[in-house]
Amino acid sequence: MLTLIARDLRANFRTGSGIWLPLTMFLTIVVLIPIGIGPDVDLHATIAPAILWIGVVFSVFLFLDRIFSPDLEDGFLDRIAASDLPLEKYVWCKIIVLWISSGLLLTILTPFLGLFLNLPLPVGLMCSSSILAGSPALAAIGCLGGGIGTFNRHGNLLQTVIVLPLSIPILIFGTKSVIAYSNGEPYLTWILQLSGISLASIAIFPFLISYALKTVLEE
Amino acid sequence: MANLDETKTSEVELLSVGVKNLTCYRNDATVFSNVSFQLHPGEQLFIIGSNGSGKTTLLKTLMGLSSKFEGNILVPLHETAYLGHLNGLKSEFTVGDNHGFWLKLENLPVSHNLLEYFEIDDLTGTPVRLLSEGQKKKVALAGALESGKRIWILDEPFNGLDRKGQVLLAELIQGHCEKMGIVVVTSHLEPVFRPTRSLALDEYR
Repeated sequence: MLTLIARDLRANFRTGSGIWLPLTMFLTIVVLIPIGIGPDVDLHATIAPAILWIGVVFSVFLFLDRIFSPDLEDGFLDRIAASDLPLEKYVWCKIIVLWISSGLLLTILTPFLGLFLNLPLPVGLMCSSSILAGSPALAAIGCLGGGIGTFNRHGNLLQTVIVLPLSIPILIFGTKSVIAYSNGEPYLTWILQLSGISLASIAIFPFLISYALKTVLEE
Repeated sequence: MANLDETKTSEVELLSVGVKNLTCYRNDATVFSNVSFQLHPGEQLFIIGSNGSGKTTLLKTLMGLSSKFEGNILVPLHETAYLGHLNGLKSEFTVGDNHGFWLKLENLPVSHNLLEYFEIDDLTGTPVRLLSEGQKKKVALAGALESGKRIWILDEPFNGLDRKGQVLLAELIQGHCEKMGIVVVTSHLEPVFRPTRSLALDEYR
């Protein structure tokens, strides 16, 4: 399994786009929105958690159709499915790779970009930990979208219809935790709920995704 | 390469690949019906048929990649090496990386025996995207067969290979069968060797 994860991470680094495009997407959103709003510094701080979180959602979902389709097109998935490795493990590795090359990187960047949005460092760190807790779930949802996107007919449409509603609770809990923290309210519940959703989705989604992939492989 | 453990002779006797009254469907249409065969150690099955006669479908069904069938199938999957008509190579990686990946995935030591056999071991540092079709096929075959599985199921393995490559592969297949392996291959071309068994899928429409 480590072999698979290492291989995919190396492929992401080597092609460049896999690592840099989520980062640039994130930067673009975080930089453009405050410029569009104008020099209202207090407003920036108020909406900063939302901007950072929306940036994360966009960056994780940037390449959904490139998660499984290259492996499907070159026959790699056929060989994995015919090998002793369970398809679920392969899917699980894909979720981990997507998370490392988007969610984890953005978690590290968030406190610094928070300063750019006039967000105090403690709040920025809080935002970063909520992203750390919630982004594994986003990666799992993204892979579900990627798996369904490989369906020949209406795959891409289904992908959007499934990914969007599933990511809404994570966005709500994520921003809510940061706002609660900066208002001095109890915030740990939100973080725990996010972690719960993340753990549940990386445990359950691989089974759904590999079922989708098996259906595609049969055609 | 196949490493047959001498102490496992009783298992070798039990090893077999067989289907009984197999009917496969694709898009709700019957591809072929009532195919039966039984292969024992040391036998090769050469599946011939025109385009669309269901060669790939049969192999996919054997490997458990398709569930649209009726009939009985016996394939010991953990003893089986499979290569579909696509190579499953990653073009951005080198030949060595692609070759070693499948061995590492099964926690086997990385050896280049088959790369040497196909005379492409000097290409280990070359990215796969720079190779010709035939060279890619050789890399894929070497990676799939190096793991020492006793049953080989190969879809169109002769495609793209030059005459010498075809002869090398045919000798490899025959050598594997002499060591009590089982090989199932498909082709739309005339075989370059004399297989022990053959199956013309066109007759089962």
